[in-house]
Amino acid sequence: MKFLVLTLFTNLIFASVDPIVGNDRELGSYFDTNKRLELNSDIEAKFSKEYLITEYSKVLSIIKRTVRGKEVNFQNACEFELVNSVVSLSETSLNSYNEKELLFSMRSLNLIDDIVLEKLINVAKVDLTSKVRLKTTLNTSQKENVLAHAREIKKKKQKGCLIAEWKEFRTGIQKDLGQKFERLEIAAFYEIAQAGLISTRQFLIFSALAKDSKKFLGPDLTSYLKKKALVRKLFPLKVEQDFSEFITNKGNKKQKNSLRMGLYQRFEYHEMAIMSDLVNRFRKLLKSKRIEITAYDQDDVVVDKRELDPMERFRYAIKVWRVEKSLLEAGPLKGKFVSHKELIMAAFELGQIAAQEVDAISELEEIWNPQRKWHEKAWDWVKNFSSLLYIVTPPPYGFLPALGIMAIDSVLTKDDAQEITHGIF
Amino acid sequence: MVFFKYLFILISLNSFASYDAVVRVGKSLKGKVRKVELPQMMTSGVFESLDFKIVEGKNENPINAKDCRYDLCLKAATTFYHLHLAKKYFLDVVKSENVANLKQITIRLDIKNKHHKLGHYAHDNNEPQFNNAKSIPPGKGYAPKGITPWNQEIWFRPSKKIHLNELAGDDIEMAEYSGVLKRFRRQLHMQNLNKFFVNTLRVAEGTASSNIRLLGASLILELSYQNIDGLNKLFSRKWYQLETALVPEIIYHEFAHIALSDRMELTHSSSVNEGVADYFAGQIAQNDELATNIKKYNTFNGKKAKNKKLYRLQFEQTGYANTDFVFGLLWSLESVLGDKVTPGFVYEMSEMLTTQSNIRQDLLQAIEDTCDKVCENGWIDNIAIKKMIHMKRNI
Repeated sequence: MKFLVLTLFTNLIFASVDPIVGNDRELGSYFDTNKRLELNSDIEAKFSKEYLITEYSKVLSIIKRTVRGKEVNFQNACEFELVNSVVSLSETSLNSYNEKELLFSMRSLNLIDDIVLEKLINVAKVDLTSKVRLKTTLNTSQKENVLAHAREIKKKKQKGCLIAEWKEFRTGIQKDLGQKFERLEIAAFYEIAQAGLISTRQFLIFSALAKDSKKFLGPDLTSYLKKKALVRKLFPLKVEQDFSEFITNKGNKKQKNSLRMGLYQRFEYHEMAIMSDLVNRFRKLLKSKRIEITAYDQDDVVVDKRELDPMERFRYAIKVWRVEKSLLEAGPLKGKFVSHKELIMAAFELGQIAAQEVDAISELEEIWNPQRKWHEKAWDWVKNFSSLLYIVTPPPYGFLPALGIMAIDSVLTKDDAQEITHGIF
Repeated sequence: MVFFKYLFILISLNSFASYDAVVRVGKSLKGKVRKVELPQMMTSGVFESLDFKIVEGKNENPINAKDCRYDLCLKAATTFYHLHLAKKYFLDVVKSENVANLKQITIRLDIKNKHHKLGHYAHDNNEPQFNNAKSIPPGKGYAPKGITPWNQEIWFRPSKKIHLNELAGDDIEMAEYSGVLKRFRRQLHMQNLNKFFVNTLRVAEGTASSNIRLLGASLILELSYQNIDGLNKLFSRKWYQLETALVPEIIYHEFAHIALSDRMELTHSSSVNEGVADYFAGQIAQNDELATNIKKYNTFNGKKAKNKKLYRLQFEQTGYANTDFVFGLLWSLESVLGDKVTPGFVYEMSEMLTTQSNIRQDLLQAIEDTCDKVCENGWIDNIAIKKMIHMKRNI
């Protein structure tokens, strides 16, 4: 019985999850913290999951893919409108929780993925109540140019999302204001609002976006959903609900987003396809049961033929992989650096490799890029500076620094593979 | 009458005599003499069961506890006890059909003769054998000379103190130490040369004496390095002795050879067949060290699965069949596949091997093919295994 209820409930969740807006890849969220997980459980305990799904689905229903049979291509996936609907929920049926908490709860039910969540949370954090201070004003010619551009945009512009509108105005007036743009952006929007070309709400929002422009200059929600829809259309997933924890990890220490978020931010769909194809070929090489190397002389006569042993096959695959990766960066990716993890991420996103394969393939990076622990790095510094000890240690105690270096060497090289002299690879 | 018969069986079942045997005790698994019960004996005091018959030398009659010397009785009880444990392991854990079909095996203690394919025993005048154990393949005998056929046997040689100088062969561990010493020597010489140049450039008071001391240090090091073999001999162990019949893991190892003899014939030793037998000996003993912690009966270092030796081509030679490289390699599969998987995995894998199999090609291919068949995640586990072998074993 319990199983039946669970199955019915799981089906209900999956039925409610939009394949594009919802999460179909991430196991756990990049934004998960113990506090947030507790809060999600609290919300789910207070209201039933079914109720939450119904309420959240109403909010998400404004993202329409077709209107009266005509494809609208996510043009109506507007961040501010979606957040406003969530705010309404927090004031009515799901009161006692604020909009940010409800957005995290939506993510925990897989109704949205981390990328959608990040975009909505950024908008939810925008403060429209604080006063806008104009530190500088435009001179007459700047004002004229800005308004002329704004009128032009206003004339062409059909109704769209606020972030897209802000970006469009921004690009226009950036040309007029040149290097002073950063300082004068808010003043320019003030003049546009004064001229009645944008509403006061729009002015407040544009000013807030300008203050925190780095967060909003990347692809907006509409472009992300369009890209994901195209990826799913061109590369239908073999397993639709296949979740991996790997993709919600950070790409590297400097990165402030998950591997999956980084992938959609940095690469176009066709680049993802090439990356994924490379991983697929690497996978086939790793699985290969026989590899032969044949040498021919000038008359095309075989002079040497050897079959690789299992470990040679393994190392051969890794060498080919590394060469192909460099060629990919230099060729189709036009100099864009791509990490081993990003390649695997692309293959997983396109459904070329399964979740259970992701970790095994990604861990191979340790072979050519072993992770060094802090004490190993520390020993490196000690070793570098210990050459100074040579000078200050009087004979016959000079053997002490030599012994120390030997000890450090043996600690550092303990687990590293040595040069292979008994195999071709 | 029937009642008395059952009563006798009942009494005899409940009143097993106990015998001194070497067993592993405590957390440190030290080898100690303890009383053990041997319920498998068909006749009380006689070291014979349906599975094993323990005899002395070329004798065919089982040893009787009533009229044997203490040391022989100790060996008989130890081998009898541990062989039954080993057989139980292969039946219950590995579920070996070969072991289930085994006939009674004769175990010969203190036998010095070499094995002869036709004559069963080589002539007594041939070089006597000490300090080892050997599993003997069955033989057809030779009727014209009155040599009757024999089944599989295990022979335990007597122990004898042998001076290490008499044992030939390269010491792999010593070669590793020599490598470290070589690097140390290079480092120190370079450093002294460095210092010499620095001293010479900033001529000051005491430079000459400092240079003389540098030269002295380098000279002492060079002398030590050139005479390392002599120094090593001076300070290292000189005698070797191994009482194979009193070391539980050696008994398990020999039985493992018999248990695996349907796939790896008992013709000669190779790194692969010795390594697989070591692996099962370790599994039965539930210890990653074989023949250690038992100095009274063994002065050799034993084998250690955690001793992370890197691969060398020499390991493929018969002379290196008894290094613990393959033992360690198979033991480390547990870190990838888990301890519940590995004994069955290694047994299944051994089906793809023969005594002629080598490490680089055959053993690794067998691991790969077995994983394709048995592992939960097939090729994914294979990647993890290969990564481990590449990084930790350097094959």
